[in-house]
Amino acid sequence: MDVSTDDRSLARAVTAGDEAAFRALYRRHTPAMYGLVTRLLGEAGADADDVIQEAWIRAVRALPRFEWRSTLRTWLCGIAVNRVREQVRRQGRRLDDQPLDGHAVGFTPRPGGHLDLEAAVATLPDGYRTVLLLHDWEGYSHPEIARRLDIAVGTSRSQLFHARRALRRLLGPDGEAPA
Amino acid sequence: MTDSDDRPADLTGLARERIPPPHLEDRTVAALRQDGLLGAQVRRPGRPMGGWAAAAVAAGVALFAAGFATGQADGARRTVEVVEALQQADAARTAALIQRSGSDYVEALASLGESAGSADSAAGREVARSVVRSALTELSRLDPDDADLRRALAALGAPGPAASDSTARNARVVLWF
Repeated sequence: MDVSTDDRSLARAVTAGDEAAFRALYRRHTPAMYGLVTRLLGEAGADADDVIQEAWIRAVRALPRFEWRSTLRTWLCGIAVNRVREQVRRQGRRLDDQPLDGHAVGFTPRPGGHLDLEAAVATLPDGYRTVLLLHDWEGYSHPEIARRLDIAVGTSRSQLFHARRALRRLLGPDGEAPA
Repeated sequence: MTDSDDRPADLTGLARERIPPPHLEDRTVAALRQDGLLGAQVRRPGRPMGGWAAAAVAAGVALFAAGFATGQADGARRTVEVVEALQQADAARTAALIQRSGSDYVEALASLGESAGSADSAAGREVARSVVRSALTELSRLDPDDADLRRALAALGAPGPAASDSTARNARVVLWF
């Protein structure tokens, strides 16, 4: 069965209140949402459970109005991104912060060692990490990022530039994660 | 600035998916149940809603769309809610109720399609057309200059908006079974 068609069938059943259909959708798409949310939240990853739960509640509420112009997973991840933005702001953190000269604030690489990619991304400041992941990993454009995060397009470009530079510094002189 | 700062970072080493904690699924389901979003009676595919049920839903919407008939306290609960919302001048709540009623109306029509050919279906279609006419009439009262609404009313063979409010109120019809 075509995956997107099956998503539609399950979504229709969820709209009618079918718990089994919801659990099927949840198990299919939550790992991708969770992967994105935990990375976007960085050190605040402990809040990921709340973000995922709230994202699903919003998604189920909005499901009857979903027009299937994107895949269900893309739509769900978009809702999760919105929730992350709200969570970050609630905690008084900012996504348009501009640490001086693009350095990853508060991090000193181990002497002679590299961070692995996962740790390096997690170390980036909130704004850098969020824009880097959305642009270079999720494939969002700068206007899309600006809209999602409620920041200026120029800020998104600037954050990305600094994030890439900071990441390459963290990963070592070759700019690559060690094998 | 270096050239490499303009190139996308190679993030292919990041795994796309992470396994959420096992308890999160049940927690989310419980929250959805609490919000009334899960656990409603499910209409199984291939098992059409009974004609009487579809007609009842359509009639409930008709009661609303046709005229906010006060004194119908034992009618559709939603209609009562609409009237209360209107009396409280709560536009947002009214709009939400209209949306819910409209969704029920559309779902009822879909159910009628599944029972096509039956006597109930024919009656349901007639009710559905009446509801559309009544709703269009109400809409045209809200916006008498809307040419699209006038054309739609004409296409359904309904008269245009009444000349006066008193006439209009008299023209509203409550449909019920």
